[in-house]
Amino acid sequence: MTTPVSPAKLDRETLREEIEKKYCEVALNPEEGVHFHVGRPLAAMLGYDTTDVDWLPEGTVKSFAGMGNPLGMGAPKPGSTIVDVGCGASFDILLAAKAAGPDSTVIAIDMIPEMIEKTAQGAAELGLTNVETRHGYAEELPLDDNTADLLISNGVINLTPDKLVTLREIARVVKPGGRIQIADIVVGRPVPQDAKDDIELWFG
Amino acid sequence: MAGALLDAEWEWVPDQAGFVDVVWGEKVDVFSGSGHESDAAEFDTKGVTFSARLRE
Repeated sequence: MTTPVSPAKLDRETLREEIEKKYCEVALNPEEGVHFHVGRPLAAMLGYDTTDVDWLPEGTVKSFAGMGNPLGMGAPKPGSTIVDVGCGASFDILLAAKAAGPDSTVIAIDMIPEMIEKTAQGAAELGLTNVETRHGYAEELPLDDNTADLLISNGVINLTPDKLVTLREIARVVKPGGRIQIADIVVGRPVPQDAKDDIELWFG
Repeated sequence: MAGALLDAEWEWVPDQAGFVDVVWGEKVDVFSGSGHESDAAEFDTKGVTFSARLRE
């Protein structure tokens, strides 16, 4: 049985400002910022291959903050176009670039300049020339229609107030027949609407 | 975590957006023992991964 989702009644711009503050902290001081595990211990909990983790730059690993392992649902095809919505410190998108090879097109999108910078640094450190970074929001992706063969996202959609708007935007940029592999937060008990409408409670 | 969804809500959103063949992975508790205060346990909050295909 499915249940329709009501959008949260809060100001999207204010929420974005708070997200930027919080996740900028994760980029700069990973151990300080969030209420879940981060970095290498989190990657181990989520079943990432240690060989892959060791291949990544240490700064990328330290700032890893995800809710699952999107690439664990299936490897990207060589030569495909892969998009990461909310790439963060680039943990998943660099692994996707490795898996898909140099003939792939890899686009990393984030709303936080510090994360975009970290992604560009990580790609440069690994000598990856097919990783492109773009500033943008999950609800307004800086992409043409039908761009992605595979779209990944890790711990981002819960931070958007209207999930249906976000998923429809994702559907716009995925090619027909293309795939999404998304990790995010699920609750076992309903969050009251007044809590959903309180920005303070989105990060605790 | 106020932006998190229930299982049934997560099933509704991709379907409404045009995705099919949704496959769910295992849930993982990425909150317990992180050393930061959180409401995660109160709402039985977990991380989860899913895949889906856009309808052609």
